[in-house]
Formats: sequence, structure tokens, C-alpha cells
Amino acid sequence: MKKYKKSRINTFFIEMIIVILFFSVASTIVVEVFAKTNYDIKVNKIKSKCITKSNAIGDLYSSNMDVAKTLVRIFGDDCEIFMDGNDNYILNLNDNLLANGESDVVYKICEARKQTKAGYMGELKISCIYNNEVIYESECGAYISN
Amino acid sequence: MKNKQFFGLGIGLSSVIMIFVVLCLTTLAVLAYFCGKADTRLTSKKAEYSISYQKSDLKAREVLSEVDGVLLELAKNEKSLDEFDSLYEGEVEVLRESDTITYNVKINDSIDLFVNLQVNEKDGLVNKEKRYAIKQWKTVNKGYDLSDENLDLWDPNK
Repeated sequence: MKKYKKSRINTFFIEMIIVILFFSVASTIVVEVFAKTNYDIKVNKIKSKCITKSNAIGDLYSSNMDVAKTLVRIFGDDCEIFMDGNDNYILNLNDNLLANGESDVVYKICEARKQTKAGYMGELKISCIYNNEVIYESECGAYISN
Repeated sequence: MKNKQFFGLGIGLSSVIMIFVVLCLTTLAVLAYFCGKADTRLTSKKAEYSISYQKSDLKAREVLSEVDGVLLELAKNEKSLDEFDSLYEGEVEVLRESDTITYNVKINDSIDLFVNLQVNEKDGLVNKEKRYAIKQWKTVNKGYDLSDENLDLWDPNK
């Protein structure tokens, strides 16, 4: 009877060890998938907001051809606009694309102007950077005649 | 009797619970993965359309600057708008009908950006100051081309 009881305890513990091992392997894979999906969804959310903001920048810039004024109108008076060495406009925003001192998302805007026969043509290159990776890039322009 | 109570859990029950939990986790992970993938695809399409639209908008503004250049030349030389067609050398096709200039810029296979300009004239000559006014700047749907798709639709005449 004692031998039978001991054997049942051993079988139970062996089963538990196998269960725990298998569960840990399976949960590692599953958690990895969850984490990757969660990150992708977060990036998509930011990307979607970047698209909306970039479209707004393009629309406003096409009417006034003034980058600083456009950025203040869209991101509010609190946003700090920096200029880098190449005369690009740099904006540091949080992951809701609001200017509150955080720099989760970096907006880099490059402006190029040229004179045409009858006016000025302005081109903006907008880059949205998250985790040192460009997640969205677009170009827009404006034309103002003399 | 005491032994029976101790082993109430039973051998194999933990395996069954583990299989159930792993199955639940896997199902949720697969659902989350496909949800994320669908979200990524939707966002990519949105980004793709947005980039195409912005590029077309930029192109349309470049055409506008070319058209305005020709209008300025006409105004300076005091020539009538009829000579516009001979002076315009842009790559985008521009149509002129009396004092209206229209052109299309392709956004994608089914959507175009349509621009309609009205030229301001004074005594039959192009106005020097305000040469044009934008009447329309809109996207137009060209409609889907279904000629390649062989759809087996019900014919009411049969």
C-alpha cells in the first residue's frame, strides 16, 4: 500500500513538472506574440494620428506658406519649435501628439522654397519619428503668386 | 479514506487544466495577432492614400505655378487668353475653355484631383494683379473598372 502511495506521488510530481515546463514554453511564445501585437497597435495608433496631423499641416501650409504659424495653430501655443543645423523644424511630442515636454514622437519638418515665374513655390517634407524609426513620411506644398 | 482525500486532485487533471489554459491563451493570441495585422493593413492603406493625395496636391500646385507663369506672361505682353495653349508647355494636360482652365492630376487608379481655375480678364486681356481664382480643387472618382472581372451575374433577360 505504501509502495502504491509513493508511486502515485511520484507520478503526480512528474506530471506537474511536465505541465509547468510545457506551460512556461507555451506562455513565453504567446506572451511574445501579445507584446509584439501590442507594440504594433501602439505604433499604428501613433501613425494614424501622424497622418491626420500631417494632412492638417499640409492644408494649412498651402494657404499661409508659413511653417512656424502652421505648427503653432495645429499643436498649440505651448509647443516648442526647435531648429536643427540643417534648418529643419523639430517638435517633441508625447505619444498622443501633444506638446507636454515629453519626446516620444519627434516631428521633423524640412522646408524648401523656390521662386517661380509668377510667385513662390514652397515644399514641406514631414517625417514622424517614433523609437528612432521613421513611421510616416509625406510631402506637401504651397504656391503663392506675386 | 484519508489517502483518497489527499489525492482528490487526481493524476491528469493538471494536464487537462493546462491544455485548457494554453488553448485559451493561444486563441486569444491568434485573435490579437490578426486584429493587429488588420489594424496595420488599414493604417498602411490610409498612409498610402494620404501620401498619394499629398503628392498629387503638390503636383497640382506645381502645375498651377506653371499656368500662372503663362498668365503673367500674357498679362505683361498684353496678349489675349487665346494664346495660352501655344505658350503652355507643362507635362500635365491642361484644358482651356473661354476663361476657364481645368486639369486633372492622378491620385490613384480610381481617384483624380480635379482643379478648375477661372482666369480674371479685363477688356479681353488677362488681369495683371489677380490673374486667376480657384473655383474647384476637389477629388473626383473615376469609377471602378470592372472590365477585367468576369462576374457571373444574373441576366434579367434570360
